[in-house]
Amino acid sequence: MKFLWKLAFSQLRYGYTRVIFSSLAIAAATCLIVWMVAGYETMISGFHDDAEVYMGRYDLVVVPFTSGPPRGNTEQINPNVSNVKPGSTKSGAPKEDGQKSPNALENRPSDAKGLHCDPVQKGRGNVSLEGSKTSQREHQWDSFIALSSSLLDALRQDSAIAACEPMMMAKITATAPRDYVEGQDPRSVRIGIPQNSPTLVGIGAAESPYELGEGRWLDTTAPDALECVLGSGTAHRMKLNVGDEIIVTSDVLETRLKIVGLVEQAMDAPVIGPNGGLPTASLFVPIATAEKISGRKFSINLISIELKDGVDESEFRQRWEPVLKSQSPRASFADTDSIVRVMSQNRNVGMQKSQTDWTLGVTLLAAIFIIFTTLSMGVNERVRQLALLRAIALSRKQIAGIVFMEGFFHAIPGWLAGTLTSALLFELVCLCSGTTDKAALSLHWSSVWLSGGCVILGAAIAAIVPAWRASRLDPMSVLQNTQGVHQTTVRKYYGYAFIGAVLIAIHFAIVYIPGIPVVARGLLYATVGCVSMTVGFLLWTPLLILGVEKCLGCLIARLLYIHPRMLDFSLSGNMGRTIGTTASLSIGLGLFVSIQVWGFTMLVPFLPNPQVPNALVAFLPEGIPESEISQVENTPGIKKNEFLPVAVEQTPIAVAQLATPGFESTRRENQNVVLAGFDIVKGMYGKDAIFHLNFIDGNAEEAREKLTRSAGRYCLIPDTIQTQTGLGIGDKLQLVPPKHRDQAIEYEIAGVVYIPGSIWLTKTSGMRRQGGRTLGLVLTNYENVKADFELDAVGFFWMNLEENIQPRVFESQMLKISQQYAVRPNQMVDGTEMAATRPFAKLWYAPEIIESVGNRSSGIIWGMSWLPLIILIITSLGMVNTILASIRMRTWEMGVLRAIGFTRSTLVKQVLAEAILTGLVAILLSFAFGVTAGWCSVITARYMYVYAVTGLTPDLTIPWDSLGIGFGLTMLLCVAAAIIPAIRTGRREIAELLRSGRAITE
Amino acid sequence: MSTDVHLSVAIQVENLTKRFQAGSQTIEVLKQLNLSIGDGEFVALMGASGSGKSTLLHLIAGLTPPDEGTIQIQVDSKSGEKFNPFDSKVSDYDRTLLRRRQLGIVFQAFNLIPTLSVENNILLPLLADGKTATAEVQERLNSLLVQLALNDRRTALPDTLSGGEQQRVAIARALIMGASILLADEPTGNLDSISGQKLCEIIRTLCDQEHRTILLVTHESSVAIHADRTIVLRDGKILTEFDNRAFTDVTQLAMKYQQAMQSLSIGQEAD
Repeated sequence: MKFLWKLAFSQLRYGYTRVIFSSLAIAAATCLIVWMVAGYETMISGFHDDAEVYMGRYDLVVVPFTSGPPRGNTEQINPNVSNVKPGSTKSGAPKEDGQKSPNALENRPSDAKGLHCDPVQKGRGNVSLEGSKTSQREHQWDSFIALSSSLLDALRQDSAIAACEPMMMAKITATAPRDYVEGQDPRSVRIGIPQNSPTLVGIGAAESPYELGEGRWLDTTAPDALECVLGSGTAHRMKLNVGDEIIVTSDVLETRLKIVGLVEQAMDAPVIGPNGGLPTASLFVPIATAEKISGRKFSINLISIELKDGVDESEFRQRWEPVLKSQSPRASFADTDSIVRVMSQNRNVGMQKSQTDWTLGVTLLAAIFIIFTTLSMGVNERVRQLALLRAIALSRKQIAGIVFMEGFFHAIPGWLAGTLTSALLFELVCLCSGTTDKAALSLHWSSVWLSGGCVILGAAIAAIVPAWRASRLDPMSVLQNTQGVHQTTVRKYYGYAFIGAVLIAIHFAIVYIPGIPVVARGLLYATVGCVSMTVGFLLWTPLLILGVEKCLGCLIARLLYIHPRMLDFSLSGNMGRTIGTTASLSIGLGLFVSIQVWGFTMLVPFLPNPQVPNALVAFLPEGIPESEISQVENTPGIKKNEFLPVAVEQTPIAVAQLATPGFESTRRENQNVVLAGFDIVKGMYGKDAIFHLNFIDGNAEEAREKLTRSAGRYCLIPDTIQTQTGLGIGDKLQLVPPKHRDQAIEYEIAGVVYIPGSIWLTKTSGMRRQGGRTLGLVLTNYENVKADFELDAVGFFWMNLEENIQPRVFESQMLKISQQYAVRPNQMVDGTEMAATRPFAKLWYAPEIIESVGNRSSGIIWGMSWLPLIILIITSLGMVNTILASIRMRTWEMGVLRAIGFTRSTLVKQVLAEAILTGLVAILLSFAFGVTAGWCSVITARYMYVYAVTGLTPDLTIPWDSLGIGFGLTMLLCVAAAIIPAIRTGRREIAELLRSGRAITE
Repeated sequence: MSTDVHLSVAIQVENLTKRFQAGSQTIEVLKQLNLSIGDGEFVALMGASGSGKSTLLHLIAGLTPPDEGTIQIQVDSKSGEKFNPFDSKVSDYDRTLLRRRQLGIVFQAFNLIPTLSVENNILLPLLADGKTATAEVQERLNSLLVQLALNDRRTALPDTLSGGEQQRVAIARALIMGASILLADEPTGNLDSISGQKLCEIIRTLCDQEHRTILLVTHESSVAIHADRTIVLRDGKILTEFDNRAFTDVTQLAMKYQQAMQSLSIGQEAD
């Protein structure tokens, strides 16, 4: 064994540049693994700290657990057991004052009984137009569920509690004064967009329950003071400080608050219960202020509990848990441990873990190909040497052993260098960022071992084929130079390509064959499909190399002013080496292409196009009287006659229909549709039609005939609903009017259409009137919706705006119209009254949506693409090796060429041409792989539940500009890899080339 | 030159046939060849290119299997134990061990590992056998280095050696394990005449003084003359053989060889 190590090690000296470059690549791959794993571990280790910050000085929080009915026995409310164990678990005597903070609720009647909610209807205020009859309209602004005040009272009677703090939460829009735009309602920008504003938290605590970073806590003795305390993260994001003002907009009020303090809040916190728990971005105000801003009486959305010293927390929980379960809605405790536990199960953690695993897998693959290429080159170059060793003394195992050991010699120094570099980089980052918490950013042993394991496993796997080849060398054939006949090999490559085509076809079959259960398809896709496709494309590589050499070789030769024959066999002359290099480059580039194709193809259905009108105006929350439609229509900027009032309702699907086949996999939150009624004839068939929809099922004329019948209700559904439920023409959609829940109204499907951007439209326009998610947008007649859902106002208008319109100016005009119609105070479901909701208008404008969705998605797609590009850069180091090996093998040939009259620049160009051709093969291979993988992922996603994409049938979109960046980078890296070796070779003297070449050949 | 009578047989080849495939054509390189080489005998194999000389050598070395016939190699001169490298019970590993321990092979070129020093190149078979450089091994190594005039080059790398020196290192490597049989495939092919002659003298000495059996493939009469016997191959068969003791100088052997080759050519033309 020692001898084999010695023999393998001796090769390092011989090909030290190769070892350096492969080690560099492995070092970079190791750095990548270490950073990804360290990032994940840092995140995990930060959970406890975050949970501590989240809890502040409290031991427990009580949150609504579900919105459902109570479980079991409901009579308990006062477990009059005090279980203080002085000095048992905490030092010091129990505090005497059970009620630490004066509370504004103490004198309030116990009015809130708790609310029941269903997927669409949560307990919220009722809004109605002035003069109109009271409706049960619920809107999406304030959706927090209240705990009963009797629970709070009961808790306060427990002598084990040192402090018990109820909190009220309300959604608001907060704007820094510098960002405030006159004539625009800040609420209009946040519909459907993930929450960026802090949540309003009404609190009666006299002292800051969380660590105060700057300023002071709220003055609870002056409850009317317009002041607030802001979470430090929010303050940092909004660039606000203590002393600044913040504009708070709610449904009933817009006011300015002075920031008097900043508190530390957890960077990340889990969603606990339907209210989500205490938000990580909070704007704390006194309870009176919270009531004014929200327009509602105080309701308890969360109770924080501080236990007295010496109280056994587990015993306390055990005593109160049955009580919490018996509440309506059911309540639950959360503490540091449970928060850490929930955080660990968070989707982001899962995604980070997946990304780490994915990085590990891809980096392992990259390491395998880099080492494989290097070892293959080594075996090819030393074929005679290995044959000689076989002939004189060494067994097959020993020959294979040498190759394996060489693999480890390439991997281990790279791993050590990568680990060391990572540690130094961590130190450097700490030094530059001034981070004192080095534990948060340090080299974890697990990442060191994991990267080591990956690299060594990669080296072992990479060495299998070269070792097998080396051990199977026939010494006699090699030494007599009777190996290899080109034509036989070419025939073999056709065979490989055929097998490759079959493997790729298997992948397509898994994606397209109907009837495979969703879970089985997903499993088959991930395990069999992806592997067979990857191997399939790998098997196509030799033929692709030959094709590029034949077809593009001439072109490149002409571009570089060299004779095309000089590039004959430049790639195929050493097929193993070229395959290894192109495959390793294609790992990063292929993934990059697949992510880009997948991302931009998935984006298409989210973007409106000329098939739908370019604007939708929503008058929220209730709309305007029908008599005022002309006021909107006559607003300058709307194209003449391209305007439609729309009656909109988000309505549940009847339970009976949900029990039918096709709906079994529909998620609870999606068991409703957004019904949009408009003048179908004018909108779709008129001279100035603003809808030009493609019919997926049925045709426009038959649909028109049905939709214009005076009897019956007909509708058009989008392809997304058809794919998910299987509903088609003639089937009926059974809907439940919110006001008559015992009835079901049937809408017969007259056609299935492709409505581009409909999902994003309903999400961001306010059409999801009941909030949450929806199965899709259903189009029907205006009168049907108006009558079936008893709508007495028009809330929405579809229109085409002039191209030169200034959208925000137009929206301010709409806002003025909306403000003409004040609404009455709201009647809560529980009987309490809420201040009147201020109406406002929102403009949904397609060009803005295209820009914002495009920018946001583009950012996400590019965010996913950085890893493949880093891997591409890493694998390009392997390209340097290939070029060096190629030059080395052709040193004699180059000497001869120079001797017979070729110039130095010709040799340089010859080397560059080889690099360019290799890059072209990698680009073509990556393109074919990436487009196939990206498209198949899109198709597979249709079958599975991925939020908002289920059932979409997007067209394949190839983002040429983005791909151009990746391809350009690849060519740049290939040329960069070749340029120095090429110039060095060009500078060498003829005699030196001949002498070195002979030594290598012999 | 040795005058010993060879009592036992070191290499016995019977009805040996070897075919190669070249595209769709099958070429029979060796045809029912029979050959016997005595223990301690020095035999030169001559013949035109493609006559099957190297193939015969490689078959004996166990590098490639025959299509027909048997090969017997004496592995113990005292007991006369024979070994058929292509017996059905013999594995590839057994053949490797045969080459490592019983046979020494010297090629025309590509003989040395360029990354190893002279000393390590010589010790290769020994190291491959898992043996360490004991005092006995060191003594043998020193003795070989002195014998082959390589003592001052023991730490040099192959590319700093002359062709003659490289071949002497290859011979030293072939002998380090104490192989009783030395197979040399045109060992002087890449050497100038003086270096070639010196090498032949060394090989002759090995035969005379150490009683090693030597089978040497060559094109050159000046090399073959150092052997006890010269066998001439033609188209995979033994055309003729000469007892070199009958020749007083190399010219006679060269003439005899030329005559043999020409007579067959004339005969073939006449046919």
